[in-house]
Amino acid sequence: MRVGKNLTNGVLLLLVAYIIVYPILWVFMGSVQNSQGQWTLENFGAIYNVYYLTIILRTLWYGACSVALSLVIAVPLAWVINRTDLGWKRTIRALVIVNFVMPPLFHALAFVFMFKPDAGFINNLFNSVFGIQPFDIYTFEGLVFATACGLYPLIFILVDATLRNIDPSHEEAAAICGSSRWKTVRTVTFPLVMPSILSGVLLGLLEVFATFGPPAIIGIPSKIYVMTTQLYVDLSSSPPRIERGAALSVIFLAIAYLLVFIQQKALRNRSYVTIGGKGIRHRLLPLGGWRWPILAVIALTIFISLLAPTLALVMVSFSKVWSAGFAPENLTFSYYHDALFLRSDIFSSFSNTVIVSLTTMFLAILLGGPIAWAVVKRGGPIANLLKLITFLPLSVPGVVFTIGVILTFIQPPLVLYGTLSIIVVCYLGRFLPFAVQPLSDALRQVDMSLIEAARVMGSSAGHIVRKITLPLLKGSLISAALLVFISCVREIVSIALLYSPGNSTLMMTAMLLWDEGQVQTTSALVVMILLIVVVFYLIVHALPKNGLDRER
Amino acid sequence: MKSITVGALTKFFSNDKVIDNISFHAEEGQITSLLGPSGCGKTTTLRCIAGLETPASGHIAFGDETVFDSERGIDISVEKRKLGMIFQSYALWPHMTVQENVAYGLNVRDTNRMDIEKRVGKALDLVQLRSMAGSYPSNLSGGQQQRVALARCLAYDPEIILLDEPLANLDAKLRDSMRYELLEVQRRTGVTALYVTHDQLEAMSLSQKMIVMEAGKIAQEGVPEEVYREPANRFVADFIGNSNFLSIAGLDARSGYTDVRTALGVVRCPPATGACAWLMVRPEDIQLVENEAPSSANTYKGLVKSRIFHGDIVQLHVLAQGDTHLTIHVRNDVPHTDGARIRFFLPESKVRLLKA
Repeated sequence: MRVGKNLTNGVLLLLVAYIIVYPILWVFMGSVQNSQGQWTLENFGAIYNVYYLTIILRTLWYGACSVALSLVIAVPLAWVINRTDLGWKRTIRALVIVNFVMPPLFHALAFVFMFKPDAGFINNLFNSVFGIQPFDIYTFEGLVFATACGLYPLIFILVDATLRNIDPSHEEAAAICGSSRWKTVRTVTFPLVMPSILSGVLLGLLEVFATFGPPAIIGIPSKIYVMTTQLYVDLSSSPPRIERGAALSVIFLAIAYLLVFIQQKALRNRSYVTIGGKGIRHRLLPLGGWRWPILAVIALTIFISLLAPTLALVMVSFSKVWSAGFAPENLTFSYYHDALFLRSDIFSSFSNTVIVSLTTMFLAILLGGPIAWAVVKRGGPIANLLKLITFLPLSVPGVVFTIGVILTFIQPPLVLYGTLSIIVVCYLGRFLPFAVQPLSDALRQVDMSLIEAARVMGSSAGHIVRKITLPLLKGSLISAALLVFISCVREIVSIALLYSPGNSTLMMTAMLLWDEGQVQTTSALVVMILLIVVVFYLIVHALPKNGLDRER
Repeated sequence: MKSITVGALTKFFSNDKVIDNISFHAEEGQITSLLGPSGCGKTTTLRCIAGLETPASGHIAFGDETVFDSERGIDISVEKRKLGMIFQSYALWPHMTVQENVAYGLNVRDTNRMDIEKRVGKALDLVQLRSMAGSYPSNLSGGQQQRVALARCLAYDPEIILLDEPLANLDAKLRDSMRYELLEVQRRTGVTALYVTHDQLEAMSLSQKMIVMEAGKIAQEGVPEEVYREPANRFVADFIGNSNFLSIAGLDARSGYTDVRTALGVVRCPPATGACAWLMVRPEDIQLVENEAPSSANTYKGLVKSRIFHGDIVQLHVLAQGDTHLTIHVRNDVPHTDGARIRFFLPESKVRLLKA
């Protein structure tokens, strides 16, 4: 029995080491080797110049600006929703979640349609009213704006959860002591939320460093290159400059870990377990006359970041001339036909997406289930190491991880480059945490005594798994699987680097269509992907978290 | 110090009437407890007094200062009510040291720095925690956190403190000593305290006045001994202490006493006032009688079904005539074991007749 356990742990450890640690190691090794495999520092020499330095600094500035703008939107929004009598809260939360799951190209494309200097809808609107076209999306500001509109939901979700879970008596005690509302916010609420804001900043920065949609669609035409687009350029040049990409990746890996380190340092002694307050609601500030102005600002934010982009994208997908706007004579359905048949590889990219996403999903559950079990129920040094490795990809920008995967599988013993398998391996490494996290959470809630009770009654291990463990975890298993599936469907940055003719996915095909100038066809394809993703997310959302929830 | 007066207080949660037109008075300088099972509205009443909940109607006054009056439209906000409060979860701010927690109420009041130092020191001395001033709450034990909460609530000398089940999260031994400590501190400061608890022992041993609540209403109020000895109805008798209840089949008024017909037989009781449904007697008031003693009024035969040793006392479960089950508390050296035949006596002065 003991040997069996250790053996399983050992096999799991080897597997995650191979698909996660090994690629990350290869980022380092690749950065100090030339294409012939000789040790060298010339890759770092090649990026030690003003051009690459500008790329690095611009990426950092781009991340900082996008995260800052997201904070400005997300934190006040979360506070207003949790601490005032605003109303419409469920609707606002739901819309922010929908915004969160939009595929990465969504905001970039839609903002081009809205704010293109000479033809964007909003610019046209201003032109017809004021005679000016004030906006230009093809600027650094435009890039930041489009990115932040897709990023703020991430920070909102973190801060919202914390504000909701803070024990209400912390704030009540301050009021009892004579502290005003505003002073309580400053001295009690804000410090308690600070750790999740910091987590949000860190996750946000890592997300922006790896984001591909806005930099590719807005940044490349305006010659504003950031790390992801530069890596894309380096890898798609011939011959591919992958070693140089590895050197750039090492620098961003270092930056990412510096950020993680700073965050950990800042959070020392400060991970407050604040969940409490058995169902007592937080006191809500009556907004009175401020209610409508505040609702208007929130409505405008959601309109600009979600509703208008959706409208723009859908409208373009049905338009003969994309910038002509809504008119009966401009209406056509032909681009939905084109979206499926224009390129010969669209059908194959559709089946590729399904194959890659389903395979990754099954492997993630198959691997994630035992990992979650080992981490939560078994513990010990091997389990801790397993946990550490599994969650490693979360702190590595996705694009850096992808470089590592390419370097690992471009050479023996396992040459996968140019096949669908390398996409699966890459996605599996990146999205494994998405499967392990919900499964661990669910397992943590399953008291060992439920399983021990069955064991005492003489059930076999297989019987226990089938009759007790799986039914209890059913909901979490399904939502973990769907989360991984959706992540695979909407993925764009890894596929942009791993893509080879015949091995495209729907998102990549949309990207290629856009590069060919097929504006409406791209829109139609993105609308279809968007529908798939949103429908799947709604299913996840509607599921009970696990079998135990039924009694609550 | 100020008293608390609550009049005709009513509060709804959606359509549930959680407080139903209650009125009471808590004397200044005393501990008054609000006691009742969970869901009886005691915590909501406390939160209304604190200003954390807004009542639907009624009025609340501290001394002669009205802080809430639905008719006159007065509703002083919580931060201006100048109260102290201890929460069940203690609600110590995890990002502040003990010193900062205790000083918070003084900082808010713009007290000068020297004065703050002095008063924080004084408050921490009161709970014997001055040495922990620099620690964070997460490094303190449950009892220490409790004492910091007490110091924080007393540091700015409030005239009224509200306590919401402050001892509920402590283990039994610690609860005993903290109860004593609370009492000590209250006596020394003379602060008016309103104490919410579901623990009857806590309420009886701490407070000068006890208010028993049931389903949003006041079931009975009075000094603890009086409530214990003269419960107003079956609910109060059942909730406070242990009781035996016998259903009453009929009453026959005699001169100076009442004969009550029950399944056990006729029981001689004090004169009945009004309609009564239950005969109540506390387990410790039932006396064992020698089997050989001559038969007399209120003496009955029984069979010991089980004997449970409690340490200080022995609890006997007795089956008597008419399938009546009684619990009797006797001295721990009483020899009777399971199956023993006994006789017991219900002293007329200890038997109570209760409304439904």
